Amino acid sequence: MEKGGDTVNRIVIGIGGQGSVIVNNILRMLKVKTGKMPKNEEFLIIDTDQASANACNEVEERKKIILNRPDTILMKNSNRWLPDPYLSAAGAGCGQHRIYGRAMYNVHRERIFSAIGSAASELRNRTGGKDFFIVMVCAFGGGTGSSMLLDVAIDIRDWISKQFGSEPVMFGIGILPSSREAMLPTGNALGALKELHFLMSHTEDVIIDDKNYSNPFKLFFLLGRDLQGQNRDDELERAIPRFLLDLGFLPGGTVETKGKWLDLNDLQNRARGYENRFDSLGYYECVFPTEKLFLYYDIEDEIPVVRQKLVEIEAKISDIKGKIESERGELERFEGRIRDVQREIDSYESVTGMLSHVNVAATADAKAKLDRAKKKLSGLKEEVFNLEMRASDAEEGKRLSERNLERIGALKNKLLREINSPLNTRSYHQIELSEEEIRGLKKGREDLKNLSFFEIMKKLDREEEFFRWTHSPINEGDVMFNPMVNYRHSIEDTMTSKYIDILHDFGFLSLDTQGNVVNEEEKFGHFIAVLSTRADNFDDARLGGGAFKSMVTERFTKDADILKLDTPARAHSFAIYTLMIGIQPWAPGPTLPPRLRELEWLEKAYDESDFAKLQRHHSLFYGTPKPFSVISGIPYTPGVEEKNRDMVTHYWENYEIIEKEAIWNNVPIVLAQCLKMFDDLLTGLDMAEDIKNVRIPEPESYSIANLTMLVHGLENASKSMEKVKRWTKEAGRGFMHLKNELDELISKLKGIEAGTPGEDKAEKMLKMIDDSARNMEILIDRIEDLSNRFSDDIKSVIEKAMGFLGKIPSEDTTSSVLRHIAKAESEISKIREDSMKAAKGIREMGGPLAMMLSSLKELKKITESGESEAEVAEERKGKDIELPDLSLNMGREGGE
Amino acid sequence: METLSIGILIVIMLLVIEVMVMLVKLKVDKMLLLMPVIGVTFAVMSFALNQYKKILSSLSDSAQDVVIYVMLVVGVIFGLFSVAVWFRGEKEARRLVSSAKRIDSAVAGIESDIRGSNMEIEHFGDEMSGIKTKMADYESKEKEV
Repeated sequence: MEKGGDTVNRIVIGIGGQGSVIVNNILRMLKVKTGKMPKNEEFLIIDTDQASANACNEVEERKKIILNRPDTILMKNSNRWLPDPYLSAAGAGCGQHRIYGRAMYNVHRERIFSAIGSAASELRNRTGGKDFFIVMVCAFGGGTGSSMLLDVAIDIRDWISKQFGSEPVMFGIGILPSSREAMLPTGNALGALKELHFLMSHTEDVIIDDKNYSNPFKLFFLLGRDLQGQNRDDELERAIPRFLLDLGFLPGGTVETKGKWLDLNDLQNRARGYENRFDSLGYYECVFPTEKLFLYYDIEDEIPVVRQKLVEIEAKISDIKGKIESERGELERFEGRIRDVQREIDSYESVTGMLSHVNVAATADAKAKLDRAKKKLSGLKEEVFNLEMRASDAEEGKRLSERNLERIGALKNKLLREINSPLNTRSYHQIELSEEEIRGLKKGREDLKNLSFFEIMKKLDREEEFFRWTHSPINEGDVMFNPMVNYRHSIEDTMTSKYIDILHDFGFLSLDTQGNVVNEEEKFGHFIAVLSTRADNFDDARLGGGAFKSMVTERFTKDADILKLDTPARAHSFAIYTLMIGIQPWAPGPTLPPRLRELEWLEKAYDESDFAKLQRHHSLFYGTPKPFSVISGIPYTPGVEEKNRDMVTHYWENYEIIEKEAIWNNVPIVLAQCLKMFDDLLTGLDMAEDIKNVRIPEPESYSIANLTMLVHGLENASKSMEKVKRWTKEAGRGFMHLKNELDELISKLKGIEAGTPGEDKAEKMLKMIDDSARNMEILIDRIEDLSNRFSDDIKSVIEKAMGFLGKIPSEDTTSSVLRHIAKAESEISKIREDSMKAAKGIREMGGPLAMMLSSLKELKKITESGESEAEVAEERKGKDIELPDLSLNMGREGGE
Repeated sequence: METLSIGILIVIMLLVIEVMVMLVKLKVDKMLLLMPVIGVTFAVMSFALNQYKKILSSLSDSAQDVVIYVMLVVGVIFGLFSVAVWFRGEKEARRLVSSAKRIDSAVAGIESDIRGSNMEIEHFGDEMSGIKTKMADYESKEKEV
């Protein structure tokens, strides 16, 4: 990203609890890195929960937009459309009700605006630049962030465009709930995703009442809290700030790099054409634990020094305590001595007369000395007491230090464990070091600072491991599968080989040299991997960037970039940041799971809510029916708030996160299902037909062996008949299901103006439909034929068997023979009974099949009309714009 | 003048010097000063009697000499006794002063010991707070790495 002299103003807005925490983390990392705030960056948070906003201590108070809950009267007056149960919210903030968040936004809109507007104006004044780059972060599960994100984005985009004359570049980051979260936040996330997708699919300006309702985001990154079944909150909270800071989206916190990887314009260019799709980030880092190691060494060296010091202190304290004891005794002794001397002086002085002599000066001197000593003594007694207290305090302090030392000892062990056996995840790998290696490296610890990651590993004779953890993710393509959402890249992961074979046969899928499925339709837009480390850690030959690029562009993405970023500060770490632009979250086909796995649990939770409860999961267009009506084409009734609100809810309820054009991709998959089912049906019918081939001995050829053979044959036939009976039932259900799928697909293709499939694709689809129809006609004939003769065939088998049984000579009817006869008769009666049901089932299959045939014909008609529409459209468009592939094809077609 | 008189005069002079020294230099108590003064008086009386022996004419020559000598000896004794008394008093005073001095210096010794211990404890405190800071530093570093 660009650096130095950058006048693009950056605003990072965290909305709701988790969004605010992430902005707070970014600020903390910025302060740690640079110690100051860059002048072209502003950080704001919007939250409805005071406590949660207060916890964001890195954010300036004036940059916290804390929205208080208004009273119900104000809420109702500002939001006539708001249902009474949602006039207030339970719990903190918006109580995870998006509808309430929407109402809160309406109440506080002006305040939010003035805060963001003043931050933008401040930036404009500080930098003089009129270009703005805005990052908005929120969680999709909560009530505040997910409900206000789109409104804030639309309003801010409009305001900045009008105010400064240039449209801001906006990136969004949305965090999806984990599979273990409650129904309410999980359902909210799907509501928010539906609304976001709706907005994103409008890439052209949609101006209604002077407000633009088109997609405000150039890129919208979806990140999941639950990755591969593990909660990754910590990783997420660490990765988002690192991503924004390290890659220079927020240049104030950029790690010093040489050269640049991409600037905002480059990135926008790569995202062009995919603005209506989602994006995701990936983060992987491999580190050599130098800092941990140094800390470990420091602690290891320090512990014995401190221990020795504490031993010395202990000895000295006990020495002092001994001294104190003896000094106290001394003081007492001197006190007595002073008293004695004083008495002596007194008696010396008291003697008068001719026979005595008193040296007054000497006694005065002695008295003065004694007085001074006495005074000192009383002071000293106090000091000794204090000293004793201080010695006790020092002893206590020493004990505390010992405990600290123990703690540091534990810390040392913890560090050793972390260096020995680190807790590595998919996104973070720390090199493990054995105790021997730790000891060995200590000798040359000063060199470690200057050596590169690679050189250290080489020194440890672990070069291969270095490449495995740093270069192989690129070389072997693993980094592709490490986004911060649960994304299925290929249909191969969700579809059985039979379907894949069918789709491959019809040319919808191809296989690469390794036999991997390649599906052009499901490739996402652009993949960018940025490798950030010190230059001497790269080995281009081992990296295989070119091979990686061709591998991923062949299988997963339309375009890919591998960018190396020389980051001198990262001598001992190798970070790989990935951007997946233009991902398709929807399922590749009916009955298949969505590519974005999060949608599985999001949809499940959303579908739990009935219509009344569904409102809490939605926000956009409540209270603004006019723009909704203009965009969706659904008429509204002015002033009838409840009706309009329900209309919006209905719309969201039925809204599917899928591109209209992508619905055409469902056609081959449904047809593949049809073809597979026909195949299965043929197999089943063969099996049914095979029942009549049971071997029945000639009536005159009775023998025990023949009787036993007949019983076995009948048993097998009975079992097969039972299976056929069950299978016809299942097949009927399957056909009904498939028919419904087909009808649903047809209605989707008709209803939502899915556009037209490409000519080549349409051709393949028509071929597939024709094949399916042909198979179906064959099947219908076969079923008709089989259902007509099935009963007769079985009847003849039964008659033959009965004939054989009837011809058993009476003299041979031993008890064993009688048992066999009874068994054979029971099997015959079972076969008779089941055969009637099976025949009925086979007959009944014809009905749905005939209906399916008509559906297929309808589908063919739509595809053909789509094809001709495409021709017309191309002819029409051909006059204005030249679209390469299609126009050429169309020209050839037109010529024909 | 005969030899005895000269001798007595010397004794008188010595006694007078003693009185003067005791009075001026040693500043002894007046009562103690009385003793050498009495001694001087006896010596003067002995001198006077020696000079005016006719006062003692009623006595035999030898008796006269005895009187004169006795008086002189008494005077000398007074003089010497006063010196002895002074010396004894001084000795006692010196003993007392030296006792007081010893106590004073011993107490001062204890005082410096205590001050030393105080300083040592202060130093331990610094060292221990240094350890504590270092430990806290390690702990915070551990969170960073």
